[in-house]
Amino acid sequence: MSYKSKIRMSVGWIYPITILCLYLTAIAEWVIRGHLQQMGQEVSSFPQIAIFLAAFFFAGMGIFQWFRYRNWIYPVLGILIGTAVMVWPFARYSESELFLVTYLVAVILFFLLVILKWSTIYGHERFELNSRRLFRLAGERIFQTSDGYTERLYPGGNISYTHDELAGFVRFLHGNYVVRPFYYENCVHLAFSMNKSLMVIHEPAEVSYITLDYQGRITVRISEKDYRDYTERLSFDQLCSSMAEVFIRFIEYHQKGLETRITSELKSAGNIFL
Amino acid sequence: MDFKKAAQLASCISKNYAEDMFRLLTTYQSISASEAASRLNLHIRTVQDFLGELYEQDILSREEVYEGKRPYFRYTLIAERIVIDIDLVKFRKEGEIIHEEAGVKIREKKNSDARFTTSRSNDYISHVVIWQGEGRSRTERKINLSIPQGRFMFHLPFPTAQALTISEIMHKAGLDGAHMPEIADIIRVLIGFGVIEEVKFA
Repeated sequence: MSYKSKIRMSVGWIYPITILCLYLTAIAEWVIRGHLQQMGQEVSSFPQIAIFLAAFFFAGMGIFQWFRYRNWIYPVLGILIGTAVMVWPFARYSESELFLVTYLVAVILFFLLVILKWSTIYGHERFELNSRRLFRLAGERIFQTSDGYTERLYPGGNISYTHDELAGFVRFLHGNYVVRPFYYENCVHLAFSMNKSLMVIHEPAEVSYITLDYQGRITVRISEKDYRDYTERLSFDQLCSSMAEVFIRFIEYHQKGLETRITSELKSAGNIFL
Repeated sequence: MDFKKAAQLASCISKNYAEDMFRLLTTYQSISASEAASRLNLHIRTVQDFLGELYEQDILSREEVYEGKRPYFRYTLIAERIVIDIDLVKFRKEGEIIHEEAGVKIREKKNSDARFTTSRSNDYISHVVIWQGEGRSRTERKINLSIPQGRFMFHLPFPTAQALTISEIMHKAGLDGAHMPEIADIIRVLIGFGVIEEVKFA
């Protein structure tokens, strides 16, 4: 049984693939330029086209990730690194100091932001990784593809737990960047998402979430964006039911003191790139 | 009494000249529209319509009289009392019959384009928003649900799930039979808006 192809490729995969392609483009361009120089043409040996492509790629990806994650750090970092890449050849070969200053400012700001916003970047990546694992776990045993998306909450059943057990369970999942909890008077919403960044949301309704109330009722809400990230239109009610079962299983593990099973089960669901 | 007939009768006797008209009808052995109109200083057409409606309700009888060239009607009161009797329980039974006796299972319709808002307690739907029309003429229709209706909607099977009978869904929602009429009502409305679909079974 293979379930890895059920979820679309992560955005994280685009970076290594494209950077590798850009390296190959740069080498090809360098070889062509060297060949043209040997033929007597006055061309620079510097792979300018590859450099420009790389700059646009980083800036473009930053903007793309803004639309996907709604986290401002990505477009800012993307534009900064794109600017740095774009002006690097000019900073190196031009006599004007403006390019060098621009380059240095972009690089320094980039690293400064990465350091200052590290918790946001790290948190987002871990949340996305584990959300993908959750969705993969939920979808692994579903083979019916009849779509049927609806915004409604799915009543996922009941399980008995005490307030302390619930609080401990929620703390464990939050501490391991599996879900982001939102506490309400009579329930806890556990938010997770493959799309919008959990670091920037203000309420769980913006993403997918599980609701655990103090009477032991479990309800599931899967956002349309997350549902559309499956490569197949899995039967929606089965997906919601399966997601509820995953959490019920996790609660039972927690009640039995088998928290490591939760993490090992999540890890068994593959990595962020698949 | 048929509801439509009762509504027509109620509309008829609610006219501001109705009491005077009935006073005339009880006083005269028979009366024509022109006589009544001149007596009450009303337009003859108004009186003709009023008497015509009472005739259709079997409160008056009429006789066609030929005097001179044009025939006309003379109306005689035949009823001694007017009783409006509407059986409200019948409506409730109609709602139950449609779904329970017709052997119908229901579930949410695929791509219904409706928006469901859940209550703060997360155990019932507080309202459903339905979009109607296309383009600029697209309008929003919001239907607020009672708590039993909301609970029922909360447990309505998803579009791809196995359809259930109303009783089964009510059982899941923890509702008793007393709520059946209002549940049947909202089902009828939402079927009309294409939010719920009926799945016939053999």
